[in-house]
Amino acid sequence: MLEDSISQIDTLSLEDFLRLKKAESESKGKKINWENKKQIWLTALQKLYNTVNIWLNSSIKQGLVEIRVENHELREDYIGSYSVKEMTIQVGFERVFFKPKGVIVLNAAGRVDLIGEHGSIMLLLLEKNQEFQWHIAVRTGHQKPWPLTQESFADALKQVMSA
Amino acid sequence: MTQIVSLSHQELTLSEVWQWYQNLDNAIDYYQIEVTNALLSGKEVSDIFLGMTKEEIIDYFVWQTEELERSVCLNLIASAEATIRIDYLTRVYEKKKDTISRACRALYKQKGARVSLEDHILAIWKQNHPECKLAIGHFIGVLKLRHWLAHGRYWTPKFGNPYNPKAVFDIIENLLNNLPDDFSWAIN
Repeated sequence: MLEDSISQIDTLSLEDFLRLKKAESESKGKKINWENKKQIWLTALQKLYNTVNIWLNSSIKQGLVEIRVENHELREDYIGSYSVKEMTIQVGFERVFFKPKGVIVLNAAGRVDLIGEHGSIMLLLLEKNQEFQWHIAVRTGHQKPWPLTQESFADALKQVMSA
Repeated sequence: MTQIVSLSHQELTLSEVWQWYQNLDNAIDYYQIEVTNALLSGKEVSDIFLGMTKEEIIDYFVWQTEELERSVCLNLIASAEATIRIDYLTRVYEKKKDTISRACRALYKQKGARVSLEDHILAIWKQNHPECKLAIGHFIGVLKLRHWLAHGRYWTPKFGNPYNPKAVFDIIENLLNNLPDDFSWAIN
């Protein structure tokens, strides 16, 4: 079957082939409300940053930690380019980044990576009971994502900052 | 007295390995399409893909295909090795009278069944059929890939050619086609 479709493609001119691919690819995402998905993701991302700020509040007040937020451009299929905030936690000269990956990821409504000098951890926005919650996830194939809480965040932060 | 090798008859022909490769290659393609479509459909896929972006899905399946290709190369070379070794043992056990068979029996008297493909069996072929030297030489080049794969790829290899299943298949087919008519092999 795959060989049949390959031989059909072989008979097309390059322009016809590209026209077919463009139509195929654009039709795939037509029925999805991308604007809604983007808003859910950006709102959840802001909520995540606010929550982390609260969790680190005491350390910030003691001058142990500095938080910075910068705008970056993210580009995704069907959504196009949009501005997204990247948060950085600075501890001395060591930095940990929240790197937003986007909405279009598998099994989740969004993803941001927590990247430190000694590793990275994936944070996924998962929908459970019609509510969106951030989870920590690892791709072992047998461990389900677990909720991001003050405690699990502290463990994650220590992990990406420890050799 | 050296013990006779009991042949398992489980060796694969080149065409069986190739068919297996094509099936799995197609299966990987279909799986990649299914997983990529899940980015839009929201359909749950295995947790090994958790949070993957389109680019990561592509990288993952490139890796899967590369691993399949390496397994296929190893299986193709193993298939050729089995064919050549079975030919060697058949010549010994059936006490054939041709020059190659006599040389094989002389080798067997010395070394038994535990002979080196490269240093012993192929050396006999090269010595008695100089017209096959080039084809044998290319096959010996492929054996470097076999050793690297079979020993767990722990060293950085230096191959003369960038091997892939098609190149390995062609080299083996060329070798087996170049060996004289009495060489017993099947490519059906």
